[in-house]
Amino acid sequence: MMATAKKTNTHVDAVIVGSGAAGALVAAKLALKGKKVVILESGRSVLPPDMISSDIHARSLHWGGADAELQLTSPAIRTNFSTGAQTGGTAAHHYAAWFRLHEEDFHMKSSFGQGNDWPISYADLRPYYDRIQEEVGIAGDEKAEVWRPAGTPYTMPGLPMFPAAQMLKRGFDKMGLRTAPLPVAINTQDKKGRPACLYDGWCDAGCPTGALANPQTVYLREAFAHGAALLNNARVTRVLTTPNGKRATGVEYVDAKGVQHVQNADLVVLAALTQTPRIMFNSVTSAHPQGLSNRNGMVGKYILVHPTLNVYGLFAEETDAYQGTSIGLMVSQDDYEKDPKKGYLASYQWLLAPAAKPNGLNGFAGSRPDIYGAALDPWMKRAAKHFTHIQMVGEMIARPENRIELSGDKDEFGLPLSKLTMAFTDNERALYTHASTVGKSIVSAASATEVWASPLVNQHFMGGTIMGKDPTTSVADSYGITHEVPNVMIAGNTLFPTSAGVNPTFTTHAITLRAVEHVLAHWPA
Amino acid sequence: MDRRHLLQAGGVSFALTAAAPLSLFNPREARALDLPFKALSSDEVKIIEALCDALVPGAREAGVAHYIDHELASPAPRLLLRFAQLRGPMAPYYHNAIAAFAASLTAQGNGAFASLSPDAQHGVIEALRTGTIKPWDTGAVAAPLFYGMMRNDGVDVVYGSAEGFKNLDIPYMPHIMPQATW
Repeated sequence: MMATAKKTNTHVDAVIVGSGAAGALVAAKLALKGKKVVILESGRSVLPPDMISSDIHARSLHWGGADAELQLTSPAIRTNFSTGAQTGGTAAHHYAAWFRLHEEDFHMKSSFGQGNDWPISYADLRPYYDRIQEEVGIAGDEKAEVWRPAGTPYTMPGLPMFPAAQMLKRGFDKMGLRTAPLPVAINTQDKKGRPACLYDGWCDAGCPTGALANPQTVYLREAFAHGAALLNNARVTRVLTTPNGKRATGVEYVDAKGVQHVQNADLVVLAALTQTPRIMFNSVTSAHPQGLSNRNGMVGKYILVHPTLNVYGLFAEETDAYQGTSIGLMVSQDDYEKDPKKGYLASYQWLLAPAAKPNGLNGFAGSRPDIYGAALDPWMKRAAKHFTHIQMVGEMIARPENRIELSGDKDEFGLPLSKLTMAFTDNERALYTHASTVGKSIVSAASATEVWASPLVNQHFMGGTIMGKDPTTSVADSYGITHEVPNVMIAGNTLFPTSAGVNPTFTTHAITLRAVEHVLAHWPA
Repeated sequence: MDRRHLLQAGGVSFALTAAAPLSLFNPREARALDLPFKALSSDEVKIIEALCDALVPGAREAGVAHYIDHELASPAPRLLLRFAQLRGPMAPYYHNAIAAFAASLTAQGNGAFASLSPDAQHGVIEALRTGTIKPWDTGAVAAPLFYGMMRNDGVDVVYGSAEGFKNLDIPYMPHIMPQATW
């Protein structure tokens, strides 16, 4: 489908590309201050009634299908599961494990000479973690979570200990490893007009009750309550700039009918995760010959994921693993410290007892792909009652060669698609080997009768338009303001210069709140 | 999206039983009714039913071929292959792999998969799973991936529905109950 006639929309204060965690938060805070805001979301509308409890339905919240726009040059690292294009973006199906980065995560390069440094420290970010926690609500136990960086106490009691968590905790106890309730942006009690979780384990399908803090539940609602508008199926193709390239004037997008629009705005916010680098590359002008704000060639570089490992067990006792939350119930960060003497340089954590359904990427059927035929049904019946697992979320060292570039293929509007070149190295493989050995020992110590591990897999998506102090080695400053165009703000995970070893969404919110308040204080940019 | 709807739907007053815009497609019923296929040929259907049922007993009756066909005919198939992040439409990956499987059996001097003895079927599946099946058209997805596709799709229809959960004796516990089989 080729774009047809161009229409110019009414000017707004801010146009936000992407309605996920970062875009929704920016929209809410700008709208709250009276700014006229429009959000352009490339994906379809997804409302809570669309969040159907089924693994098969849930897959439609994850990026994929015939129009996947991020091509892979190697099949080893896949990103579809950790991305999504719809109202709420990836966060519409996120599992709400909300961790703070540790102080050591901000100084990877200065401490160890590898990866990058963040341009901020934990002290800079702590107030924003605290405020987001207060606004959204997080359940946890800060006393039991002995590794937790300084912060105000959690706003709700921690998750309950269903049988699977109790059994796995035995293993950690025997190994001398501490555990704590997993901090989650999931209500464990009715709070702020949102109900307590039902613990039915369907978080991956989206949470229609409002117990889990997805954008639909929290910041998009706030944005709409203050007048922000959202357009679905609005695919942004490029950022428009003044002839000298020093300011953005808005964006160009194509709607579902193929009509091309120009949306002028004082502020352009790029919060489109994997699409942010692509949009910047496609915004070539004579003033930005390598793409928007890409004179230093840094756009697209330092893509990051979290290396991941699952260690599974079957127990004599019933685990009731069908219930709980998709992320799990407990956490252990006893081996989080980065120390090259370990044989790898990375932080990692264990998540205990994620809810397990029969099918799908995280289903227990998939944990033993070698079982089939007459042996399958007895095994499935046994696993349904006695299966549980732990998951390692690990750190990947940031490397510029892990990158997004434009592909030679083009989309239906004639614009190049993007492609991802990415690989693990011996460092991530050494982390996997270590964690696999430790994890099997833990699950065995928990008295599992059978223990096995997954291959090295991955989750989450970060980097690609990293923040930094040095304009020659980063794309944006610590507020996401691009180095060359001061009224273009990048928001979200693509700003992460390193992955750390924890799930990213709480940090996404914290850096975004800090950034949007900076932008408001300096308006117009 | 209509922001009025989100404001109404996102609150605690949201009715969990609200009707959702669902496809009412049910693969088991579709098979029982012998509904026509949209993306698969009759030969492909025979291979899928025989292979999936050998991998996941019950998959044939559960309508695995209609399930795959329905998804392949949709703009964004929800089959688990989606997460392999392959380029372009999904259907050709199925067509090519099924053809590679059939051609391999023929080249080995075998008849159709369904006509093989249980032991022979087991041998073919093991070769498929381990990637040792010979010959195998390199233009198709790798043999172990095809094994995974067939097994995953079979698991979806046999165990991924409320009925499947019931057979496993675990509660489905839906927020919003699917109005189709799954």
